Amino acid sequence: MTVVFEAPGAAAVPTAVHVLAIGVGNYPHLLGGSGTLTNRPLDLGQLSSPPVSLKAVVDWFLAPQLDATRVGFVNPGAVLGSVDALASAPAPVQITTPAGVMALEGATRDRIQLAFERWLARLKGPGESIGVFYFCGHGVMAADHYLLADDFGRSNGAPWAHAFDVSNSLRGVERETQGALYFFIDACREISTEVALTLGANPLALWAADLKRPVIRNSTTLIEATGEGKLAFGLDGRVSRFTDALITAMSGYCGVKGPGAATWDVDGETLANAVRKLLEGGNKTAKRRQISGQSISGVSVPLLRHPRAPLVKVSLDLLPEPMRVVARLYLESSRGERRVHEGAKGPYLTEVPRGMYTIGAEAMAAQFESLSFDEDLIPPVHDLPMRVGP
Amino acid sequence: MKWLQVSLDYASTEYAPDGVVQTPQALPMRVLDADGSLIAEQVASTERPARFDLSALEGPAFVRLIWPSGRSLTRRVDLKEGEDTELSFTDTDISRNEWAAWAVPRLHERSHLAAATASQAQGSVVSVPALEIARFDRAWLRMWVRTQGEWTASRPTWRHALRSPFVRQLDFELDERCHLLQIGGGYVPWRFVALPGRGACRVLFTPNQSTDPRAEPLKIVVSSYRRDAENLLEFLSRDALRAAGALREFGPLATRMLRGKHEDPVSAAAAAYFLLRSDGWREIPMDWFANLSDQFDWLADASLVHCVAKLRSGLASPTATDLAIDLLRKTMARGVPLFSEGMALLREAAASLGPPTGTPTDSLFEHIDRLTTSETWSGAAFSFSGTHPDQPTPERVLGMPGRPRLARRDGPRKGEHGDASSGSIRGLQDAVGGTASENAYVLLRDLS
Repeated sequence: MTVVFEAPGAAAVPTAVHVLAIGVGNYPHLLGGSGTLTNRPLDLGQLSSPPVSLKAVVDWFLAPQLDATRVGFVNPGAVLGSVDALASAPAPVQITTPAGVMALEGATRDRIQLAFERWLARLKGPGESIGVFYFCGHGVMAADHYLLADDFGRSNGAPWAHAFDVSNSLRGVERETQGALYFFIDACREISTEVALTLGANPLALWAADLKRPVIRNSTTLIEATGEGKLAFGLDGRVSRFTDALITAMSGYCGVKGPGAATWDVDGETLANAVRKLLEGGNKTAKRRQISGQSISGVSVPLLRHPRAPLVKVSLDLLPEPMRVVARLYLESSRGERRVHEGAKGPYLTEVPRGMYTIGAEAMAAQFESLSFDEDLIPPVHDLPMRVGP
Repeated sequence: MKWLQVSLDYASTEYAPDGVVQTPQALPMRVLDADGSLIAEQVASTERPARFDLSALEGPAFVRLIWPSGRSLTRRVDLKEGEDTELSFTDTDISRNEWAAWAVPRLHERSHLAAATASQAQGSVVSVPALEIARFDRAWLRMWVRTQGEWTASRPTWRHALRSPFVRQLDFELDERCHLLQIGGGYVPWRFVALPGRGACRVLFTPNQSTDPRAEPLKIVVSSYRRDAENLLEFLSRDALRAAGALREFGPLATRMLRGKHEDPVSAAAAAYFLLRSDGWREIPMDWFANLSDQFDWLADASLVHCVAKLRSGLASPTATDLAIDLLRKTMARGVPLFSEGMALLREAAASLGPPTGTPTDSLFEHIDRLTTSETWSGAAFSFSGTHPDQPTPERVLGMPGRPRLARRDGPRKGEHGDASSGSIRGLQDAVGGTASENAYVLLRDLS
């Protein structure tokens, strides 16, 4: 089963969001796989994170359909029209849907093709629907970005027959649908670009661009993970760092409220910034750095519209540490709401709604002169290390 | 009524060589309420303040100035009914050398020049230790010029050079040809940066303190004194479309960009890039793109934006397809684009117009594939790695002219003090070759 959710009558809704999500962790023809090893495995093996990451993304989109109080997809201006998903893992990935638990089919090249065409047909319906395409698995970055389906390497004569060119797929879709497109690509770069150039890699697009047609989509957002090797994915069997940042960002940690607007809107620019900053924050402790790249074009079309102001993850510290131990760290909003933290408990880690704050440190017994800064807390993260003394 | 006037007092960023006319510094300003909701957005320049009607706003206003680097500075303003309130963003804390101040809004916030602003403005916030440019003394520069379809290399000649412990700066006077500045060194990967021709051009070098693993160790900032247009492209290179859109609406820039292409084709090309990014291209007659391409045959950007505008409007006939391919050929014959926006358009054009999968390839598309795969980051400037402009490579090449070597793939990418292990030579050659390669460069330490 690949269609895990389809809203009744979604085909007739002017603005619906249609999701196609693919996670490939099981590669039978690559190193450690269960099938015949391909002649050129490119040193690529099995991945444990993509099925888990895929499930996290699908669960996030479906959460409010199962329980309206849960955090997930929210957009009063667009209904969730459909969710299609494919996942390759040693054991079938199970998704809880409004219709019950479903097991996902594996992400072979043929199934990806069919699911993509079904997804595109929905986007071409009436109005300006929003398309979301998510992929997590192996990828190769040359001039364009190539993604590997689970049967990659099945044919030694045509190894790239079981991959696809996602960059050209996007270019093809831009001429087919009038609405907005969001592509999230969580594929690490384990193959050097020089190797990629010498491979003769030439996978087909999932939808070839018909150059006779003009570009008609109104907005494109492409956000890609560009980490350094498979360790950038994160811990084995856990949601990848990029996907975790994406889900966090979408869960109320970014948004812009325009003049006269009632909601905090998350468009491509806002989301890409938030994902990048969340990853940068994680890089302070991670052994391998994960970063993201983006390409945003067209007009601003929000994917999400939140009713509440986005939150900011705030980290306050005072150096040197002996001074923090004798300090009170505080945050005071421009409306006068004050939060205080005893420095003896460690750095102050908290979450507050975005806005202007006065941030500072006061000594318990005049050990140092008080510090105070006016700070514009912009989601999703704000770190402020303060220092007293020389 | 409550009015707020915000001025941009960035006089120190106005430094320019004698006789050079430059457009004013112009930056977007956003007015927010206490919750961070956007109330209004405008652009202020060093010549023209922004003026906001904030009659409907309850409570204080917060004005956020946005730099092309992505950094923002926010000031609180308490407004009074029936009064005009004035606010000024000043540059007193921008830079230690006023001759380098122009580049600060385009530098990473960890850069020493920009970080000086933060630490001075915020007092006791922990700042980043500065890196001195002396660590790049052995880095070298070479100038490449495109003449009648061929690239030639030479030792750069400049009108004026300035130096400080953190910065080197060169002022060039360039003619109407495609110019590439090549930089390399024992620990500085070889790369090319496009310089705008047809007038004065300034290049600033400073250690790059970005933590992004893709960042080059030496930051290069280029200006041809079209600072509003350059800011717009710098915003675009960071996908900051809202800020770029605000600048595009700024009257003086909008007029110069669309109506003044005869006087300033480089700004007109910047306008075209913005229109292609924002979907505004549909409202511009195709003749406008065609005229830009036809009238400025030294400007690769001009034929490239025309090519992509045609491509996006649909190629209804084989003739239209041939014309688009011809424009792409012209683009590469002219050299390379000036701006990094051109990289994405080259990729789009080559992927769309190239031969179908499985058919014989064409050298034009192979070259563009290698060029776009070799992209490096220099903000708004077009930049790529390689040994020769016609031989781009995604591999990182290190060494002095005449002695190139490959950097180990997982080797360090930053600084002169790293342990940059070299890989195999694999037949790499300095494309200049022989005696020329020994003479056709200058060391960064010798810029004066």
